[in-house]
Amino acid sequence: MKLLTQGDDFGYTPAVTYGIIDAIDHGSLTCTGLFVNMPATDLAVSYIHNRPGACFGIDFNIMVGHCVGNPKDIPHLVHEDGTFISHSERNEDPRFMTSEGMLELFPHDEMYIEMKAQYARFLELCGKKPGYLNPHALMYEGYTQVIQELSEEYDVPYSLEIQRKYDFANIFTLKMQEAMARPVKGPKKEISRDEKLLSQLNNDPFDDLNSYQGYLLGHEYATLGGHPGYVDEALMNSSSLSLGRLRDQAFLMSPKLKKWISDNNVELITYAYFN
Amino acid sequence: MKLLVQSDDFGITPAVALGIVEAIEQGIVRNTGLFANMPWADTCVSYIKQDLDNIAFGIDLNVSAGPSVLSAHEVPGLVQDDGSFLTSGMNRALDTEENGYDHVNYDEVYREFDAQVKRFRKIVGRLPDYIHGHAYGTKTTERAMRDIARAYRRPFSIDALNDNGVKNGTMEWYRFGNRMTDQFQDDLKQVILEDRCGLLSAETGAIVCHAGYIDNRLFDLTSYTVYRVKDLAAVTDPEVIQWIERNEIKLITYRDL
Repeated sequence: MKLLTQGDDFGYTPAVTYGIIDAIDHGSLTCTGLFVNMPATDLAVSYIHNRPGACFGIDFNIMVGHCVGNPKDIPHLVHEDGTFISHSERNEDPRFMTSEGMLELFPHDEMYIEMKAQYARFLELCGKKPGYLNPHALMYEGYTQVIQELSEEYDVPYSLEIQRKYDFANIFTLKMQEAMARPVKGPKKEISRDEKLLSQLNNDPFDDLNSYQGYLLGHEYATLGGHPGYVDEALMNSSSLSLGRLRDQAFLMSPKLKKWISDNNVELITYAYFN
Repeated sequence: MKLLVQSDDFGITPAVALGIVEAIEQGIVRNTGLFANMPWADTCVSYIKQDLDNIAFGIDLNVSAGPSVLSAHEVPGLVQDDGSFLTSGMNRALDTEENGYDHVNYDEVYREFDAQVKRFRKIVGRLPDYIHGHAYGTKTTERAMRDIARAYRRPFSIDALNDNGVKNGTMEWYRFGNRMTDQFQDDLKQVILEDRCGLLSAETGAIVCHAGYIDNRLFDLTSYTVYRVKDLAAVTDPEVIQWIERNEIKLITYRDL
């Protein structure tokens, strides 16, 4: 089986960046996608050039931080000061729940302008093309469609398209499909911040690996990963996924995963394999 | 006035070490101590090599987190079956009225501390700039630390601060308790800006904090988790840096005392 390990949000904050680099240098992580618009982007880029074996893609980010393009060109995506309208702000908007609403909130042309600008920024910062294109946070086909267009325009693989085309085993997608097939339980009860954080710590990626081992090994290609990273205050203030990143990081850096890979004769690959 | 800003636990985990490097390079920390007993101690030292000339790099002698440097049969009273130190909690459970709340064996503690200093010297290439203790401490551990400091002719942190009339911060920003939500309330930034410890009126003051990033391993080793990212944010905050400049405060190290 050929395994592609992917960690998202490279450059989100310094702590996330260091966690990803450690997972590449000392663990089994091979692919990571850069946020080109964050304060820690330059720090992240400084690690790219002397890691030729790793595959650095771009995580198109139209939800966090400041836009790369001109704010006047993308009024539906940003506040006046050019910072993106955040995920939590979007959650408050009823249009976020309907397809007509999403068309209104995320016009194709504006996403296209901003994502082209982010691609250009990647070239400028890294001096080379991204190894792959990847979405961040937003599950909306209008948005992934733009990624598809850019993939064709620039001849750079789009992560999810590769995974679809080669029928990658993907535990996250499988679990989502299983969840959607289950009946909805009813309104969620309010849980405290402590409980939310602690529940992120309760997640052990090895549980999934053990449960879905057959599923993974039975495919020709598979992907594992998530959102590895260490945690700093900037992350805790910006993202609801904070402590959970520690588990992903520890998993991807673990000797136990390395052993699983070698015991099962798994070959580690990146998106470059498909060029 | 002069201010000694210290951030403890360098190398308790790699993420904490990386956070302390940020606290030094982009913040006001100028003193930190190495956990020489951790398996990643040399990796962590490589993170800070370029900053060593600008700081005091001491040693945080410790008998409550991670593995002992000496083998388990040399320090049987200090370790669990797997070779890691008894935790602070386990140690305190062994302290009773009978043993004067001080159960540890001086000889084992001294020899382990000595081994940690020697390991420091091996990794860093020189002796620590100061001797400091971590978490679990009793009269015996303090006595052993003083003796180590004397043997190696290094300043012992507590004595160095007292002997020089340094006004130490109150550590009140940890008053909230140890649950994660409690730790979000860490107000080190406000404590500094409002000068709640009254440091401005002293000739020399000190702040001892625990800056760092959080990684997975940290939760097994210490209760201070969110406190660390909050402390880091405070010591790198532009308002705090401005406060230092506005009050013409000189940031000093143990080497300046």
